[in-house]
Amino acid sequence: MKSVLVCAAQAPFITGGAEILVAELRDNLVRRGFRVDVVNVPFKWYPVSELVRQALAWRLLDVTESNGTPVDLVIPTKFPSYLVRHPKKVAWLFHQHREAYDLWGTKYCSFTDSPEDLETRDAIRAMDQAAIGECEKVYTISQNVARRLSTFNGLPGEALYPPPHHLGRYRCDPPGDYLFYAGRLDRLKRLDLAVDAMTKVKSGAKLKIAGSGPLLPELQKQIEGLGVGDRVELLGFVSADALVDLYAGCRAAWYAPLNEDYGYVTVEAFLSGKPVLTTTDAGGPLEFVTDGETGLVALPDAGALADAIDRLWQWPESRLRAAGEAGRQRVAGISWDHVIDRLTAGLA
Amino acid sequence: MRLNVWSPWPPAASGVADYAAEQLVALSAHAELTAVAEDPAAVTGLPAGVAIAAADAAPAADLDLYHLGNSALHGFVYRRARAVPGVVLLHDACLHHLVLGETVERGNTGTYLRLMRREHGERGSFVARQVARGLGGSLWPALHPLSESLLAESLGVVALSRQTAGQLAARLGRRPVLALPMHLPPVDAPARDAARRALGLAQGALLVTSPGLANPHKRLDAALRAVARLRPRFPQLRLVVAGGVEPGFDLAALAAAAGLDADGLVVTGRLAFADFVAHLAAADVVLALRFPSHGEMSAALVRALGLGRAALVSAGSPAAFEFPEGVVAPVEPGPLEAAHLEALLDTLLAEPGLREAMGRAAAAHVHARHDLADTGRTLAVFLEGLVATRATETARIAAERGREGTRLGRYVDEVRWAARELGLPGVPAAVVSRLGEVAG
Repeated sequence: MKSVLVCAAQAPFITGGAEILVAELRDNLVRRGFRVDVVNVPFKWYPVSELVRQALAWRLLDVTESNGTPVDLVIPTKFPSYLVRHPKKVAWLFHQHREAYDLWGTKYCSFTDSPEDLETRDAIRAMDQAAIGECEKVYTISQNVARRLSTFNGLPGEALYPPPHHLGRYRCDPPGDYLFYAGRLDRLKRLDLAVDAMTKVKSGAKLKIAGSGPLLPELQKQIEGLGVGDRVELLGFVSADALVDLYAGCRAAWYAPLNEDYGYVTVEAFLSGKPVLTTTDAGGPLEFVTDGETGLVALPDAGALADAIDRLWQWPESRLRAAGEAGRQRVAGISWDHVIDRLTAGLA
Repeated sequence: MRLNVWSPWPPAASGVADYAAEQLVALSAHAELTAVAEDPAAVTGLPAGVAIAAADAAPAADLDLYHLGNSALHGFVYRRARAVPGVVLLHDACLHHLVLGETVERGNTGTYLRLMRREHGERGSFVARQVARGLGGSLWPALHPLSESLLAESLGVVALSRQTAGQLAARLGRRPVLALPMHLPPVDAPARDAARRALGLAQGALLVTSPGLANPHKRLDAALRAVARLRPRFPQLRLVVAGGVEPGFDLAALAAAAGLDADGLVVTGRLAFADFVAHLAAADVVLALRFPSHGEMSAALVRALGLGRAALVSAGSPAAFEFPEGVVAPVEPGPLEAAHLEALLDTLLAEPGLREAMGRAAAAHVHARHDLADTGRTLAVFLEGLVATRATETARIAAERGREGTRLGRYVDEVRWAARELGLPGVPAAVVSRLGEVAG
């Protein structure tokens, strides 16, 4: 039995998509007959000056064997777990520390332009270059993540899409009167843009938002201030059954993050036979959504998005179903067996 | 042994200058000496036979000895010590103000921030940003000595108290550290009566003397309050500040706030050396309080003890560790400092026999352990031992310095202070090697 160590970095007490993905990777490796464990090193990303030390901790670990048994393969996932040292390292890269890369200089970046923060950015880039560069193979969770890796580090990566959490349970019901979003409420998901757009729609469309996160109070205030409480509903955390029902009953999914790594919403919506409304700068979702075929792609502007929503509301049910079905075809090949086959190919 | 000694020298207004010049006398029996000065033309009072050289014309030597204290006078010594590894004789454990002057005040804030992070980690980064903006106050710099980078890259370290030497030895790992008792210089001091006559002080006065520059660290606010409370019982009591007053330190206002009348406080202003010694001789009790301590040992205290004067020191300071209780009496520097000081002074002033007994114990202790010739011999033996390993140690230090300013150097710094928090003095070569793999 081959031993596989999955390397993850986790902010204690915070569980999100990455943590769920690591757990499912572990379960599916076990299902496929591997001896598996997960190494989690706590990660704290602030203040900026802490980042380098946090990252270097990974470099000082010896994970080549455990209690005399060799570890045959390590699979690091996100920054900075790929700094781990091992002769057989196959990365499945969820993301790098984006503030040092594509988010640098944007309002989503906490680095300042001080010499110290610039040094930290450059150190992160150098560490990534070396540590990812020594991987036997680098898979990424999307083409978008691979593209960033190529653009900023000049390193190749191959997209290996992760299946969504409730694979096999999604279904399609007749289209309802609402757009649906499910996920963490943070700034990069740009739900504030969605609420702005809802002030401009003419079609009577509604928006249901499931999930929680740091942006929740701000969104509540925005919805109240703009007087769109009758059109925008914050559902909070919903159960797995309710989530599947909400996808099944929506008219389309809303997913317009900024340069998203991957984006489960797109895949979940397509598996539910629903089109997706996204934006030209959404990143990962654009690997699946084609304007007019599997959904709509609008400019990241409230007016343009409101127009797109109104157009979706003009689509007859047959067109909605056709777009959803085309989406389903695009994600049909995403499976855990495919993921495990690729990640462990070198162990054969 | 050819020894270059780098220091401020007389007539610089610095106790270090006097100390270093006195030490040359003792070292001259063991080494061929060159005193290296920032301005050789200004130097006076060095012993005969000692050569003087400018910093940029120092002759070849077997070893460099650097006298370092926490003031701008030591800037040229600090720069040289950073460039050429030698032996650092540390007069203050804390070099924060010196380093601040060499970095931030020269427009090089980046180096200051980097040193603070290297030596004190994330807390150091935070404090450094505040101090660089002029918001540090006096306590934060005192708690962040900023001496470790320099000392770790030195061939050896000499500390003038066992407390400081012990702390440094624990932090510096393999660096040789010598605890060298601060020498008692040979001084012709007058007897108490003669000193008072010479200084115009009343023979019947009870004199509590705080020697040297008056500043907040010398706890004069507590001393003023204690003396004010004792004056009704001892009308002949005077607090003598035998020295100048630090600019901005409003001693008169503090005295007024303490309720001490003008007759109870004597401030001499900066003194000629002979008068300074005379004030020590004239004293009934000497105050050598320091809080927060910068890890310094007071030369004035050693002189006072040598003259057989009863002395009070701050508990927790190097002096309190260096001298046994009975030779000195420690004063707790906490909220009850003034009350504690008042109680000790009350006892000492009321019991001349006790004062004299303390003074005799002090003189005996200091003459036995702080003899100039003995300390010179001890230092020479320590230095001779380092000459043999100078070449290999210098090469090793140069290799470490080669990383400074590089990404690997930064990585090592990040790991170094984490290790230091655990009491580990250095970063193992295997760890440096691993960090090098991701340094690009």
